[in-house]
Amino acid sequence: MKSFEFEAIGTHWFIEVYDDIVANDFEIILEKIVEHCKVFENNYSRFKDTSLVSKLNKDKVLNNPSAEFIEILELGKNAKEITDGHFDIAVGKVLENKGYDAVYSFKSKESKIEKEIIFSKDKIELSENTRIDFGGIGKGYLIDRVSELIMKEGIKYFFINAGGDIYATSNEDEPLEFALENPFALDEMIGTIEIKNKALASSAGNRRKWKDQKGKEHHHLIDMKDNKNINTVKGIFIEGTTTTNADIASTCLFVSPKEMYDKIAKFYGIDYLVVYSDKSFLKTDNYNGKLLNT
Amino acid sequence: MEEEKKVSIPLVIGGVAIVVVVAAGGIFISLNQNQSANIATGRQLESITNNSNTTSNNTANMMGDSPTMMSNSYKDGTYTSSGSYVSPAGNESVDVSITVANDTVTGVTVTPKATDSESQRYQSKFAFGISSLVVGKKISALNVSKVNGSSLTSTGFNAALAKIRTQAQS
Repeated sequence: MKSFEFEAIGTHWFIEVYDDIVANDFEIILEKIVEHCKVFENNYSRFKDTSLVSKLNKDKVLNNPSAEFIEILELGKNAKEITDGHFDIAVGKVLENKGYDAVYSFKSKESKIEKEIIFSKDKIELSENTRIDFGGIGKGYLIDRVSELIMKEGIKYFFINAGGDIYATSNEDEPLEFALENPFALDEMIGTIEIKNKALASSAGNRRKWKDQKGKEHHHLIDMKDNKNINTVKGIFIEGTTTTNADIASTCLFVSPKEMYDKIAKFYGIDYLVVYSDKSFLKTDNYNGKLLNT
Repeated sequence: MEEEKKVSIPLVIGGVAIVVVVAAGGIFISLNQNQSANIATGRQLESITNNSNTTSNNTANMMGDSPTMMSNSYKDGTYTSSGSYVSPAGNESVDVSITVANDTVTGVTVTPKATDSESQRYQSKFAFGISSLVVGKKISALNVSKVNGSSLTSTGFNAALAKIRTQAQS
């Protein structure tokens, strides 16, 4: 087994490979992966002034976007539709207003929010007060692209873990077991899950939280229909066939009311475990995680 | 006289109190609608009753051997039963599952049953009560690379926040 770690898109990546390969060969593949992640971040990070997303947010128009940019916008559009607007990539300005901006000011302010995004393969346009953010989509999407890169190199048995979101094939056809992090205590697990050729994602509002200049607490998961933070859900764990779907579904569930869970799960073909602030939980029958208490 | 062990675990499902009572020689589950806890002892495991005089559906079974109901102790195992009751919203039904080890109830899960069979595949189950609370244990022994969670999600964010805090203190 060989393992590799690196930092990209503001998170820590682990890649473990079980195929019998020469370390040097994987070094070369790893370079390609790191480069791919760097380009992705330079294109889509709201935290990079020169990114395509930042340019679009500033200029309100972007001509001849890449097919990839359009694909991610499509994913966002679908997520908005399936959640009836609770999830919306037009969350950029809401996050900025909460102080989660490019300079991490953590100072809140009031400014008008709009959510109008019009796009075709030739052009993307935003209304004056719309700003987008690919949080909730970007990481899962990138994990799937990295996983494709690895498979294209002939590697069959591996897993990728980018900040807790995971894609795993197997260890020579044996499923791989992962711990489910306790959303109430970082150094604990609440159970384990075994997967094979599947993805895991999770969302928790308490990981990225901050207090603004008035002492008010904020986090990054926003219900865009009501422009508010969701506080009753403590953590969400998703099992899906692609990391893209698992990641989006995770954020969609977090920001949507409980009544919409099954519709979202069906749309993305995922199973879930939702942990609430009172430590109760809700899960689908087919979620494969084994909780410690059951 | 055998030792009396009683554990009373009140659970609430939308205004309906459920009380699980464990006593030596008997395990009894009672569903009470809009009234305070009803404690009963000496009844057999599979009985789920409802004081509001609604349907009682006894379908207990044990995974493994049949429980020895008349003896002083129960065999270890998981016992499940389902019951129904009338809530303000109409007929509701629940699954109750109890895990017994060394004469002690180690787990209780009360699960409302889905009424809509169409979305069975994605039907979520809400687990209630003390034993269905999420519990954790240390993962220090476990490889950090194999954790599905979000503590590692944003190193950039955490670094920035730490910086801001330092600035705020100076």
